[in-house]
Amino acid sequence: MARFRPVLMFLVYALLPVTSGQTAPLPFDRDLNIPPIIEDSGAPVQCTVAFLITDISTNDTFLMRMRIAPTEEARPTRNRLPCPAAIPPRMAVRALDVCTVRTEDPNNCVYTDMARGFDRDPVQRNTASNGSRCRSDQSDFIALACWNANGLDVCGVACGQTEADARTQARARCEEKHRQSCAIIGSAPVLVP
Amino acid sequence: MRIGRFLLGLGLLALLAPRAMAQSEEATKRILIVPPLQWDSGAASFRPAFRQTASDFANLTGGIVFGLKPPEVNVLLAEPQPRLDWNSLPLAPEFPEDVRFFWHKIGKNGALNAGINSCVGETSYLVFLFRSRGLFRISYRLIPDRACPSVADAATAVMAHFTTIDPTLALAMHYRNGNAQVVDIVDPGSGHLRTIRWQQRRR
Repeated sequence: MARFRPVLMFLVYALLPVTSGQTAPLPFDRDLNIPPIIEDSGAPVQCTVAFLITDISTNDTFLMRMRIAPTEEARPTRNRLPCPAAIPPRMAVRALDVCTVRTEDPNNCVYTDMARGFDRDPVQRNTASNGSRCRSDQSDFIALACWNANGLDVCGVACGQTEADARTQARARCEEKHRQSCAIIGSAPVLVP
Repeated sequence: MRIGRFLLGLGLLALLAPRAMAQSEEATKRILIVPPLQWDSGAASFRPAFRQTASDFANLTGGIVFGLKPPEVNVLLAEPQPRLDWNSLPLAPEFPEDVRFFWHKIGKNGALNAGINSCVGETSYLVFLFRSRGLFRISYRLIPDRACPSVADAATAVMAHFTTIDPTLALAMHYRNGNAQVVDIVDPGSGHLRTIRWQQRRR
């Protein structure tokens, strides 16, 4: 019997972790196979639609970015998932909320791409939701260019593959539409960093 | 001959005008970035794309969050006032209930300077507004003067600082009051007090 004592002791030690594991169950949600990175950085990027919204009472312009979950059949191009063929109007309406929730009069909130004559009639119907947005499957940057009409920034919006391209396009659009020098310029990436 | 000169002049003008326009100095328009939304694949419903908490707001204010009592806010300031309690605070007359406040000059408050790089008028200040339950508003009151004729850039900087926070946690609201620009950072849970503005109820 003494001959087998070392072997028995080894078996006891070897089995200890198993028995202790059985007495105290592990937390049910402890999945040791999940790495500590939550999102796969190499995964295709979701469609993002970026809207520019302006509060005409303060000239504040907001960038509202909206990501859209892909459909099952969506296939990425250049690691980007496609956006829906038609962006639902409710997304544009929701984008306006970024301004309406902060201002006294909801009529102060307009899409940033403004029609000619907006300085004389600064109302939402003289702005374009379609012209105030860029989609990540078509462009990397969104930009606006404005001229100041007695304190009111009157702007045009454009999209571009590069920041410089978007700014140039926005300025050209604003100057062509408003027949003014649109030297007040801003830009931002379409995708959420 | 005269017609020829006229046409030549017109041609030169047409050539030079766009160039002159393009060469005019550009000014930067700051865009205020808000937290993104995540829509489902049918674009029928949405939720915030990222989850933020009160600690995200605290990171922008040097630890100040809504609900703190006046002495608790005071000790978090770079230069706390020597004695401060509820009973010693003045009433804020624009509110229809017992709201009290204390104020600090902008520039003395570290994190609460909110990334302002441009000038603010000498008399600009920062107000902390409380009801009995605690802090519910931080109000930046930016007042231009001769040395700083426009405080618009400073107001935009404050907005840009706080619009990064989900509006369900802290709502940044910008408005004008005479020649002053005001940015209120409001507790969205402050009910009917949320929409009341500085000097809205003049007496």
